[in-house]
Amino acid sequence: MDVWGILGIERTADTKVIKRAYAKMLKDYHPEDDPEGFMRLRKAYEAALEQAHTVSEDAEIRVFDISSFEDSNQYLRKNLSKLEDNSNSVNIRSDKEEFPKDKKEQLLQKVELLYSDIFKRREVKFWQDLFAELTVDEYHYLTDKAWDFFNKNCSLPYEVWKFINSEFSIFEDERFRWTKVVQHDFGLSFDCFDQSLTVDYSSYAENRFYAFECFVRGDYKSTVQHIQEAEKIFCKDFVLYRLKGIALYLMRNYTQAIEAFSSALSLNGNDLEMLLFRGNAFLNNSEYKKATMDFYIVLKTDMDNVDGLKGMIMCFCAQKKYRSADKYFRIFMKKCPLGDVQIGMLLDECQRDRLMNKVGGILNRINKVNDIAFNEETALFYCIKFTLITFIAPPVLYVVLLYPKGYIYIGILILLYLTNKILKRKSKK
Amino acid sequence: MISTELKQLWKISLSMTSTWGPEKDFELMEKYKPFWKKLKRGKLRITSEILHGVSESSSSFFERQQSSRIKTYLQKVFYIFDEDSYRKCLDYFFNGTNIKKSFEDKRNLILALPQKERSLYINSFAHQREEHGKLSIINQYCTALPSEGIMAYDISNCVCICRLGLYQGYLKEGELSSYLDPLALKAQENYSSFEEFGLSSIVGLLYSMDEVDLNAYNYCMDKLKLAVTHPQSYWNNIDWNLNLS
Repeated sequence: MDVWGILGIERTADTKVIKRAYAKMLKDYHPEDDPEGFMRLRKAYEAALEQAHTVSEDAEIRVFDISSFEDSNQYLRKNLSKLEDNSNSVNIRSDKEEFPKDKKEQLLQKVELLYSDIFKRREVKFWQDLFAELTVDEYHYLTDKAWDFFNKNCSLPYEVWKFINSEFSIFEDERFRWTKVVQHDFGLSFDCFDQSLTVDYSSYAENRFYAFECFVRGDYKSTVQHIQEAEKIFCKDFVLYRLKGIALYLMRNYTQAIEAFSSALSLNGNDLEMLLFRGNAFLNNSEYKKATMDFYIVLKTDMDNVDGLKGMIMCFCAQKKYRSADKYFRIFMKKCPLGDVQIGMLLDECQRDRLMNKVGGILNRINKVNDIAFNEETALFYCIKFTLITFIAPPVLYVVLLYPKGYIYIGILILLYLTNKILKRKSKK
Repeated sequence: MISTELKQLWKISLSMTSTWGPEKDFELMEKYKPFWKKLKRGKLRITSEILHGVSESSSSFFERQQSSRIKTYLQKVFYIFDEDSYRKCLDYFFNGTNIKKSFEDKRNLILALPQKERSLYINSFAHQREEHGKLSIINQYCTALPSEGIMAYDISNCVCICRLGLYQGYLKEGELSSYLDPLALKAQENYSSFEEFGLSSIVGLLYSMDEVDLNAYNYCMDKLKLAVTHPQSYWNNIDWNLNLS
């Protein structure tokens, strides 16, 4: 295997790539675990760097032309044989011998010095300058110690983390604790830090970092605690309020979550995500009007926002305003053909309500008809009653007194009474 | 005073949104008709049928057929082949599955990311359908679920495994309460209603699927609708805040 094969990369003149590959391979060939493998790797690394320098020197004189080598393999073979000849003389010494302690300390002090200045540490340029100065031994030492240093000093912007990883492949190192957090861009920018103000941005940035770390770990309580600490130092960071609101929302502390979202919105009023979260918090707090307002603003800005539509539907359904929700249901179904469990349930509820309304309407009509029929029957009943009292009752009384004609009148009276009863029963039916 | 029967029903009702579903419970309610009136009058006893969620058949042929069907279901869905694998599976669900943990990890990451980054992150998995689907589900329901996420999925399936294990003889009746009681308390502590519990469980079910298409979605929705809206459902007749202690 040639030097490039050992390093696991294509032939290159880029020393950065070589250093990175070396740092990566170091994890597999640690000097203590596999001294032979390490020696092989070290030789390949040095040879690769030498070749890279040769190429870059050539490039300075003329444009690199592959044809200038009669045979590139021959060139490599030549270099490798040179390496093999020197292999016995190359003495891979342990760190202690190779790199004195005071130099180590000096190097670490340099890194620490850069890290301690928050306005320098946020710039990739300063880190680039620092690492560009390193000798191979220093680079080797830092590669081995980077995880330890950055475990303790972890508050850096995403761009810087990206650069550090490109140098030391730190994200792949199992000993490095923060890979899960720093490999993503959470928007933890240092841009809002004002150099002219005397604010302890360093502590602030640290608390902010730990807040995110706790959140990613699922420890929402500690997240809020770190944010509260950070808030005491500096309170003009949208990202922080956003995270605080979400953590509180998940903890069902909707009132405080609304406050945090409002603070975030006061710094960035156009953030739809915050409006959606606040709308949902209002909804969970049964403040439907406010929730509707937030969802309305979202939909006004982005008509196709599925979460906004969902929020609006939920607001209307919670208030039993199914008719108002209808329009949003239709749009939602178009935008989200696969459906949504919550909306599916609400749609079911809405349809049930519509069905009940229809059934209710039919029942109302029946009742009305019944009422009319009953009223007509009642009028008849009163007519008969009136006739009975005014025309029939006096002669009956008279005749009863003049027995036996009275029987006939009483018979008529009973007949009328029965007719009335039958009519009443009919109307009830 | 709350009857022990009602408490027991509350606990076993949690399995309604499991992969086994609520259909068999409704069959039993039909069999013990009028189920809730009898319970109110104190005339209903929790039989082994109700506890298992499987109605007993008078014919030994049908009984064997049913048992074999349940066995196949346990094998296919939970990889339960014998008592040993049953215990492992039960403990796995009882202590919290990797599905739940993976859901929480991904949700925390997604929620911490700014909206733009979140979309980029989810779309970066466009070529990995399964992962992309999972992330989309998390994104869709992240505001709907409480911090405990899809814990209801674990609880629901664990209760289901308990009931079916009891039927198959893998679990003894005396052991049942040692599983059901803490599960029920955990559910009551972490969710605020049967609806929320059901939603969380169904989202978990969707999340556990390799791919979610319309059929899968309808399958899940049917389970939840039945459990939440059926007038005879446990969830429509028992109070969520029932004192279980």
